[in-house]
Amino acid sequence: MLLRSHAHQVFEGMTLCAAVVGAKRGFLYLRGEYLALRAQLETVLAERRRLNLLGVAILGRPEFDFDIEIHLGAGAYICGEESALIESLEGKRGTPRNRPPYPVTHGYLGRPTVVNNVETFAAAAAIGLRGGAWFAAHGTEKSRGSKILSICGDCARPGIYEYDFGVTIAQILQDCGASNIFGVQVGGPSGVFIGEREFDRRLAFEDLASGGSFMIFDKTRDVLEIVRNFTHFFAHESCGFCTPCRVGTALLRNALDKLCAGHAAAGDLVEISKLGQFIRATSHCGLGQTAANPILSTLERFPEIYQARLKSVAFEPGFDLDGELSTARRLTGRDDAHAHLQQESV
Amino acid sequence: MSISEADQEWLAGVVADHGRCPTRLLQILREVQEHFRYVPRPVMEFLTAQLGVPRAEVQGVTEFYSFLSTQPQGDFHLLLSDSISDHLLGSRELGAYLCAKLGVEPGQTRGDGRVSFAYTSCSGLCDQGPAGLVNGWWLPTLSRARIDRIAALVEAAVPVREWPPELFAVRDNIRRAGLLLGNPVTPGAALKWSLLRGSTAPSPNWTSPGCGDAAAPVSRLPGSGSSATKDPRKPPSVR
Amino acid sequence: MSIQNTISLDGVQIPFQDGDTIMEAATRAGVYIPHLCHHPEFEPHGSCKLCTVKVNGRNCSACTFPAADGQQVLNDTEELNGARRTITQLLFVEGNHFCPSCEKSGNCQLQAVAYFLNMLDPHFPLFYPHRQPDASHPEILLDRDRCILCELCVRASREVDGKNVFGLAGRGIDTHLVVNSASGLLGDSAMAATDKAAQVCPVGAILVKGHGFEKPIGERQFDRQDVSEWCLSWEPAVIGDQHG
Repeated sequence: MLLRSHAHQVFEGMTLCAAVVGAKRGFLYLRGEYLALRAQLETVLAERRRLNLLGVAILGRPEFDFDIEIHLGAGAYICGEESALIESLEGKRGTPRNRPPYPVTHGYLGRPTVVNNVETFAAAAAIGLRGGAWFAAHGTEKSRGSKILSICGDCARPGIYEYDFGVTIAQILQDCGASNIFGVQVGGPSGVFIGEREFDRRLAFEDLASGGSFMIFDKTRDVLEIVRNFTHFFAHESCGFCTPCRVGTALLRNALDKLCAGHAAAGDLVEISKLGQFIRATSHCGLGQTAANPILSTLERFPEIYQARLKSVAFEPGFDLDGELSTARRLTGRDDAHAHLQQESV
Repeated sequence: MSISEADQEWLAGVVADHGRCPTRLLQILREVQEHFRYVPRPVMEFLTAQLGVPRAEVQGVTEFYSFLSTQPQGDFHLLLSDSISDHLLGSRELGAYLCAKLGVEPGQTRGDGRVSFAYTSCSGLCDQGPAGLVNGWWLPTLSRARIDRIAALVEAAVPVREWPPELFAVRDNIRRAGLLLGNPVTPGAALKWSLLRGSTAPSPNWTSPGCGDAAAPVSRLPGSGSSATKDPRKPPSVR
Repeated sequence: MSIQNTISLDGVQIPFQDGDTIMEAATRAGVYIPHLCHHPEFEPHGSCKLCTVKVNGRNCSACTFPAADGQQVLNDTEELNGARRTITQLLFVEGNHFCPSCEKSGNCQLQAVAYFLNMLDPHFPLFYPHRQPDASHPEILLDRDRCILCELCVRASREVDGKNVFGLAGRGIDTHLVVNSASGLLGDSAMAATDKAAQVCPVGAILVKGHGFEKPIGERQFDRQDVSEWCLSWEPAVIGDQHG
């Protein structure tokens, strides 16, 4: 949305930043899904060059050269991580780098690089014009200014909402027309799933942080399906560089599938929790570190939902016995009763 | 499979347009994907020769990104978002309906090469779901009715650029403007004011970057290596 | 009194040189930090995560993290060794590691690290992936079942042999080793048995043909020497005896 209707402001913020840090080159990393925006963004860039707001000798200053290129992504969530983004800008696989050093000292092609999201650059332009005091007068002490949210899910009015930091979750839910709410996923898959008891919490870095995603789920929803969706997502989007995330997210996905299918016992739940915490503690980057959040945050708050899905027997096969015989049945061309196995169901 | 002369010429043009920069590999591969509907092995060879990027790395980049493929996709590549917000709006049922209508399986290309379908992690249109993409272009607020229209267009082989614009109409959907959205900056206003107020003069210490300026451009084709050779695209070591 | 750069490693002050990583400082001081993707001849990689240490309360990879004066580093703790054991288990279940029939057994760093960390079972469900072996090269076997994606062969082929024979492709758990040849086969690549890349594999994924089970059990590399001793006594001239 910011790129659709506030592109000038985003580019202005980038140019301001370039003036401050002495950069000559800027990139807009446009995720692959936003291909439809490219043409109009190029038009905005062309117009800025015409207005002498971009390119050589900006606003007549001979020492101020700066231009922006648009680079498209190609469907990899991990490329939202700043060092993976830089790798992708360099034409490589988007695997996050070892840090330190950080991009501010060693970034694109080894040069000092500032990486920010478009909202930050848009805010920088606004601050550049109206001053820091104007911005800091809003928000909380540790989270100045505002946050743009993309609200979706079970509410009457999904869409874009901008709030000063410090707004309560309850207020947001009221404004977007949510009712019969079970929980909210604040901050996308990497964020936190909160329930009713926490709706008086505030949107802020020191309380509930969000990159903008805000998903609402009502009481008709199957929470485990939501968690399963996120867990599959992380296994699919893991870059594969580090062992804990590469293998761990796949194990977590399989374990959760098993639980959702009703084949897990109490011990499996303990294992899931331990594995989740392990991945969080040892992964190379934020994706792995937050991959278990959907499971861990819901398990912490709503353990009964998981308990209800468990088998009551202490030991049982972790797979579908009859299903595993399907290959043998196909090879022998058999489908009679003796070619099948009964599995005890609860 | 080998590349036709016409395709070779096209490829050379694409590479030239990108300044033969290895950093533009992903951008080039996106164009290859659009043109060929996948990244053929001979094209990888060609890019290796043109860019100096080892073939294994070209393959590595191709297989890393979801929107690139080593197997042909359909002339119409349909993606449906699998994000939870789209799930809740019935994306899976719509997907099944679409597959049945077009005779295609998720993750597959139809036998005649006309159409392929897959689920994608996210469309970027959370508030306008269930959403999808056709050949990379947004398809917001899908419904059975819209799927019917899309299927008809696919079967009639109507090029995507000729599809009815309302299928692609994305709304801004701003419900509540706050500090930023409510106080937009006129193009140039912030820059002019800041520069007038005298913010830091930019440092002219970096040479103007064209392609290949980062350290010395090092070809990483066989025979050029030594233990002192460093990939200029790798960050310097922590030493 | 001279100013000394030291870090505290498990409560012991150890010196380090400018530019050292924690791994280098520890190795200099004769302290072993388990690792697999790290090799003193190559740039630190940081992917296996076996060398995870706690630096001022935060988990970091010792092989890539710069040593800084005053750091409080924990290495040999139950928590960290437990995490390393888990990582080793993850590596075992990810591939197809059949030690009893593997030519590298006894000389394998994955196996040796597992022994060192007292890994008694794989713990997690096995993936049984379908991975493509490649015996096309007359002198070298590429057995992807055993590959742990450490990228030592990738780095060796690029930085030492100058051939770029190997690369990683795919994403997530589908990540796999690919070969730089038109056919994708090792036999059609520029690789030679004398390449550094043919010697550097810590496991049995890249093996020179014509050798196997040459030393009896009890006289193999890691029968004679603990992996920690082997790593600490490593010298450039002695490149892991891969024939056993």
